[in-house]
Amino acid sequence: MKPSAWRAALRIARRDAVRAKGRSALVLAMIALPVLGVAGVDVIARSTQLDPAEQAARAMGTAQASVTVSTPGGTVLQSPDGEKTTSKVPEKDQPRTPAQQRSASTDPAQLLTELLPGAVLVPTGQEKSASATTAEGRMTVSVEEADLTDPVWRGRLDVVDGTAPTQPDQVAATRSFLDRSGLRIGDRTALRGLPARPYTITAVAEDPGRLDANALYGRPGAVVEPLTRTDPESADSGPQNSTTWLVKLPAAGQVDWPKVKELNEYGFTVTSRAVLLHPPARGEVPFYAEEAKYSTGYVNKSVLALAALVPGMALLEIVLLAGPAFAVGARRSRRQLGLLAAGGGDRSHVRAVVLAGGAVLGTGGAVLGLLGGVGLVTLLRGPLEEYGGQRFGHLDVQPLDLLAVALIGLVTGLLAAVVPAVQASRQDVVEALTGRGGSKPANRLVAVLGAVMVAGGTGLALLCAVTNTAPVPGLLGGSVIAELGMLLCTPLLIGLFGRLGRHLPLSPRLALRDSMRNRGRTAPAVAAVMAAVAGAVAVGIYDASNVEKQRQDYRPGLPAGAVALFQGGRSDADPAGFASLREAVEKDFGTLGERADVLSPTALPGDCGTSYRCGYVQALKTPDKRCPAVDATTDEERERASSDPRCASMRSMPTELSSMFGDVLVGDPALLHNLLDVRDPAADQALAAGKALVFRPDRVTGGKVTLRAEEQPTRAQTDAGVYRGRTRDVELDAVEVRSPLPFATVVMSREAAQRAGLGTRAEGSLWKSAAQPSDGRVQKASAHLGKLDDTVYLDVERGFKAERSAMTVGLTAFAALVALGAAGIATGLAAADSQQDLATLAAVGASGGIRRRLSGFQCGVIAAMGSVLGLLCGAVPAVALRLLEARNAQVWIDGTPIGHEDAVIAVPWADLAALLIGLPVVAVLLAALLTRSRVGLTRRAG
Amino acid sequence: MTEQLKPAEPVLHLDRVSRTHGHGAAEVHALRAVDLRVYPGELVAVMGPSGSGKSTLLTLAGGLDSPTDGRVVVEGTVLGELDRKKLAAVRRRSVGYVFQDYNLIPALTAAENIALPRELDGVSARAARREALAALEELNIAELADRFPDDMSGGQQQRVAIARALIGDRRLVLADEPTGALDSTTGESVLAVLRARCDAGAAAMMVTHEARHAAWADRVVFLRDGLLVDETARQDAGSLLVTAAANARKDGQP
Repeated sequence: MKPSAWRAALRIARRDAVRAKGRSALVLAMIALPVLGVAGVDVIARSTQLDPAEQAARAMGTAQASVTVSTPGGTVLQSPDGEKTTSKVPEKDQPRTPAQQRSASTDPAQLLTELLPGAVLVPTGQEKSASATTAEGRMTVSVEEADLTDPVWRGRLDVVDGTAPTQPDQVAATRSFLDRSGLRIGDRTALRGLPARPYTITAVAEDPGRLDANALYGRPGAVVEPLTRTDPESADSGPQNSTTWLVKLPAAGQVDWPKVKELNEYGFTVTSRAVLLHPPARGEVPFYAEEAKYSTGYVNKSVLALAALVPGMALLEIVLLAGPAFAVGARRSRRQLGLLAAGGGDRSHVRAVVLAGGAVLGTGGAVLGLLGGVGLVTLLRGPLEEYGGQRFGHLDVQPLDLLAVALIGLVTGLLAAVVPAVQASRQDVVEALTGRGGSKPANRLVAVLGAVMVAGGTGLALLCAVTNTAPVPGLLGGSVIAELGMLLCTPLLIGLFGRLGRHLPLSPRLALRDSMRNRGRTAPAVAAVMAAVAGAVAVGIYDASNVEKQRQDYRPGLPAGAVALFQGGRSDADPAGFASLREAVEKDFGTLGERADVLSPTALPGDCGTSYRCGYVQALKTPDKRCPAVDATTDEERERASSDPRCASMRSMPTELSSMFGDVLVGDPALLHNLLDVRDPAADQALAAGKALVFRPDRVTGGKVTLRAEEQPTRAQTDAGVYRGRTRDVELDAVEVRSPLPFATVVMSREAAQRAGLGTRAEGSLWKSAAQPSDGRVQKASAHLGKLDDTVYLDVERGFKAERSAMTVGLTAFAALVALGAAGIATGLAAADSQQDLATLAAVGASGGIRRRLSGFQCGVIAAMGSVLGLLCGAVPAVALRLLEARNAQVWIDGTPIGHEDAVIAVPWADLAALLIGLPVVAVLLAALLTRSRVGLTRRAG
Repeated sequence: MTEQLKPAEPVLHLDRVSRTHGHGAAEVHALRAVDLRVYPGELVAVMGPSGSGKSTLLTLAGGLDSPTDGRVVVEGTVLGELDRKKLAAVRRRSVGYVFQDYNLIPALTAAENIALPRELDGVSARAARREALAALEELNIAELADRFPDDMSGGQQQRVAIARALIGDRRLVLADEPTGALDSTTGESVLAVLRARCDAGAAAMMVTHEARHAAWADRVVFLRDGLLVDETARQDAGSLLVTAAANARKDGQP
């Protein structure tokens, strides 16, 4: 075709698009929306990716490098950015290099200044968790040190409001801390352990890479060190001496790649500005060679498949949805295209006009989507950064990326217009001009090809999923082939459907026959509905299967309806204030009934507060049922025992119920009532008599239960590589009690525990509410508690609750809406096409009602067929994806993969039935309601 | 209108053309061995009752349909020997159609509608527009150039359609009841335009129902049941009018 002919075609298409505004808007929206999404994601992803200068600023502020002591006495191999490292430490009998010897014997800071002459080291990375007072209570906060008046921090830690702390009693806080604590600049906060030293908040500091950081920044030496002094034991939890420094060098000084490699020799890991800006060639990086040796290359293929399947299927759906719009357009302008042919246009010209429509709307949609995507990201930059937890480097709009995205839009438009274009070009000119003809028998060969494609595509997708081979092309290709095959079968299926009509009343019979006669019009509409329904069904089945899997895996931690207040979990919880927290809960909930205070026994005697340093107690199985590895003292014994059949249960997921408080508990009869649902006076008496109540038969033998108390290993032990503390076994008189809800293995009284030489630790409190407390009440109480002390938390057991994501609901609703729209378009077209029939009907005396019903049923036929076919198509990718995910979910035992999970596939029958029946019914009603029953004058054309 | 010497080559030659639709019991003979020549400068009116094959004659003459028997020759080219693409090229370069209504593509202006066949043929948009403007000028409707069909009266649309039918070197206009959708005054003025184009050298074949429109023709051919039953020179048009009216009454038409 000549360029001038293309120009003419484009001109006609452009003007047509403007003339048919509603239809154009629909197609534009369908193309623009996904382009908007992809363009937006691209801009966000690109903007989040920092360029080297920004990366350097985040890592080291304005310093020249950030250096960390990794392995003194060893050699570090690192990637140029210092993100990935591995180290080599010489074995004891191997000789050390001079550098290794020197680093093992020299203070790292000292060594660093020797290696980098003239360097000024700014320590960083001193961090400690602390409990700070807030406006209404306390909360946990990360405490760090930095001299924010030093410009070296700029870009890594910025003061965005107020003035940087200059005095030891001043701190800067993050926005997140201020928001959650209710404090403001100028307010004071005190840290637990340092009540006499309140700090004044003078500034809001922001780590651009961690906007959600909940932290306080004090002057060097003013916060972390005093805290460590008050609680020497917690020194283990954070580095005492700085191991990372920002390195300031004299003017023009820099740490180049050879220097980085030299520092690596001494066991330092380095992130250098100079290296980030001018990275070395891959061959110069020893780390990469090392990495290649150990790379496993394991990729979870199901993630890749999902990533390909979703956009791929979405593209197909859009093509199928936009297709009918072009088909409608081509059909509406049948005569116009006929004129074109009469005026000397050949088939390629006619095709070009319809294709140009796709190009015009595709380009329009793409441009609209691009502008929308970039515009939205620009507008919503602040909230987006906060949502993502980090600032953008800069708003990065990559023209090449966006061009590619825009091409997707254009291609979508063109693809959607291809079939209508070919159909339009094949139409008989004389028939087009006179408005006659149109009904041709369905091509059986095409239908057979379609059936083969359905079977082949389905088979391919399932086979690839089950065997985990080439899942990306397999799943996507198979699903697409199956859906396209279904499309090819549509005309024949419509014909078969039409035969059902013989015994129906007039309106549905006429509607069926009409759909059958005008397959060219019905098929694309059915395809559109099918596409929309297939999407909804795929999402529905996938989601239902996920929910079912979660239901199978769910283990309740408490009896249904229980309200639990947990005190444990953190070493800095405040046992003294616990009573007031309990009161707060009881007040917030109103009537909660009997309260059970839950304790657990500890290996060390006495009251252990909430700390975990007092060891644990477990109930051993009777010797004949116990896994020998439990009693093994050496690795060899454990090794030997691991093949014992009694140890099998240790390797699988626990199937026994276990409460969130633990399974050996100390408490009073209230605990029996609330946790175990045991209301037996005999049990209460036995408990009072100092006996252990045992709820699992395999723990009792001869009226005794064996408890094993295991102390925490001491520092000296862990340093020596022993990770088990001292253990001792105690025997208690036991009574076996049956519980309908065995959430615990053993319950004993406090006195019994003391007599056995065990201590106790408060775990929390448990109530059993007669009525399920409302979500709102729970949230309110939780918020209240959080303000008083954020180390405790509240939990209400409600049984398994399916978390249907808002996304799923939204997608389903969207699919239903689109399906209705597609059915509506087709009906409108049918109504326009059958004006003459309607006129004839009116002439022979048919009432307006009949014509309304006719329109309704025309729409219903399309919706019903589309729903049935969509149901079949949608199942393919969902089932295949679930199979693939199960195939990729390895089950590990002791570090060895022994197989993969069984696939859980659930079909949401109720939802599907609703879709299958509801959609056509709504379509019929809507079409009937919206049809004008008056008949316009028809005129003969030709 | 002076009597011209007829050149040896007709612009359109229907050589014993037959067209049959359907098979067996459903067989319909739309045209039976019709023989007809249209010469340059000649306006031929085709008359006949409904279903006599008038429109079929026109679609065959323009290559939109092909005969089951016989040959259609346009400017020396036998249409039956051409493939689809070359047929379309003939329609672009040799034949112009004017229908009863909906002649123009609604998305294009008058000038663009006229220029369309030229643009499809590869002429640059600017050159095609120049030709279109010249054609409009010739028909004294230059002011319509940038109007869309929706903004034109029926008569104006038909004039634009005639201009389009004759753009380029096309010399054969096939008109299917070009005045059918117009009131009688407007219809007459459109026919005057067609007549003028023929006097300027074009050849035209026009299907019409109305005998008085046939009076504009040089020659009137009469079709009945697919057969050419009568052919009258324009000089005898008066007598034909009587016959035509009588025939029409017999067919139950006004």
